[in-house]
Amino acid sequence: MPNRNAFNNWLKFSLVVPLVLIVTGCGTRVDAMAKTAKYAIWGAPDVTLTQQQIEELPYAAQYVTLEGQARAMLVLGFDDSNQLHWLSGQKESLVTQSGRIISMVNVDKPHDTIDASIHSTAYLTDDPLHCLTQPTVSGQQNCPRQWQAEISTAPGVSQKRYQIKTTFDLGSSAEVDLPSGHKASAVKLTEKVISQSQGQTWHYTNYYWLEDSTRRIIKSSQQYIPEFPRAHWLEVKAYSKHLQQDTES
Amino acid sequence: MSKVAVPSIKIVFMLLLLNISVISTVRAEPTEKATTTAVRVQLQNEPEVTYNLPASTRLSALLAEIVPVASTRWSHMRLGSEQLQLQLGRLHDEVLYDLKRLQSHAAKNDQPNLLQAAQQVSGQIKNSQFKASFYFQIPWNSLRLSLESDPQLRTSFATEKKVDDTLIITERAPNPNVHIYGLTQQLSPIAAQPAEKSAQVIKRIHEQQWSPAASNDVIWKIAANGDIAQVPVAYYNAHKPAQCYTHSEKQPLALVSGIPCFVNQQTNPADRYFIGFNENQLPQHLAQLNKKIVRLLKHVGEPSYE
Repeated sequence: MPNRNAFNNWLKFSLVVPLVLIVTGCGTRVDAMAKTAKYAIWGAPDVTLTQQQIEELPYAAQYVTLEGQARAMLVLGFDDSNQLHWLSGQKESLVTQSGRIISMVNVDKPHDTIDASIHSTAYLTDDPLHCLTQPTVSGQQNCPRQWQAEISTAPGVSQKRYQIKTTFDLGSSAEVDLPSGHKASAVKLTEKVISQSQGQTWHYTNYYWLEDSTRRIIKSSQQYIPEFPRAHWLEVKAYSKHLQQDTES
Repeated sequence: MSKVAVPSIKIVFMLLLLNISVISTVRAEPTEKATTTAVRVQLQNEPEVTYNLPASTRLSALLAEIVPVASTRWSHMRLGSEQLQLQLGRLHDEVLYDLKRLQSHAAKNDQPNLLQAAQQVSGQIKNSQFKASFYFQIPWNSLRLSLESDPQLRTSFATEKKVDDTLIITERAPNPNVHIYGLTQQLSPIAAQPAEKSAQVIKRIHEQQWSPAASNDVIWKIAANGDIAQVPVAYYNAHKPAQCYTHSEKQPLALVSGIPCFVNQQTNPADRYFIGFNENQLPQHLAQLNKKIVRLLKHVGEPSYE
């Protein structure tokens, strides 16, 4: 009898344990499969921080949406003489100056919507955005409205250069809803871009929202070359240096 | 006899092992001693400075120490080493020797065009300066993004396991012109044109008279960052993809794994073009000559056009 009981117990154990393992294993697998299917159909989800998460965030940050891709959050990694390097968790970096994208690193990956990345932008000192975002300049009306630059794609045998001509138009005041829950009053700038390379011409219209008190760019929509898609920027958390400029002025 | 022989074989084997380990210890010793790396820094308008840094120092840490990172023009900064320069010197001599052999072959087989072409390329190489580089443009912004892309001075740039290598950082403005090498009659530099006109440079290269010994269906393009493409240019193959060889700082003197790619017609400052030998005219033992020349030209400085 004790032998039979022991055998029964062993039988139960040997049946139940694998069953439990199989069921729980399947559960995880089904869950993972559902997530994979959702990812395959809808793509990666947009990154969204709660207001509390934004408040607790120790870094300046931006939401960036490249057309055809999910929204990512980039945090400020380096400030090289006002060239701001915004970093993603995947070790990508987008560099802005006066709110304009001027270069990037590790951004162009296989199977994305990016055909080439912007490696450099020349003639930045004459950029009207530089003047328009200066808190000390009295009156944006005095800033230059036109700019010519050259954009180069990643170096190498396929490197391309684009001649860029832009014209600015100061728009009316607008309110911008920031992810932090604040409403900011801003001036909307419109930039008409003519991009030329190898006898071909492309036209783009870019928008920048210039916050009234600090003159920092809190929202923008930018495209300069056909190989790099339109990028939508929205400030998640302001760079403290830009806020200090407000206090100083 | 056999009982005596077995232990003696064991002893001999053990002694051999011991011997090998002693030899390997002796060989490994210098590497273990190499705790510092010398770095010679040649910045424009500044006196040359040599630093001795721990061998484990990462490149980004070194750069942050020696230059103002925010204002440095990284496209002007190169990294080479004395050992790499010696290796390049050997490649240079090999190419000249191969060209000499080609001249003998051409003379023996009564191929005056090929003879003249070999002499021409030999002259171009003798009149040029070569500076070996791991990086032609130090990629500062990617170096500091992750440890994987930020090499340690010793481990990543050790050439031939030499311990006494000195790294060399040079600052040099990129050449604003496009240079042509190889079997064309006009070798003077062509000014790189603004973006919208730069395709004219390619047109000018094609309009030049090429040697009858030249390959007229492909042209080699060498970009300022060391990437190389073998570009089809003839009527029958121009639609085909080029063969691209991405520069690797780990094998800076090699043409690493060519992949098909499309190269645009635009030229950029410091691009170099090489019009190579028609491979059908090359003898079997010199079949790789064009590739060898391109590997060398990747590291070319200013040619003198004498």
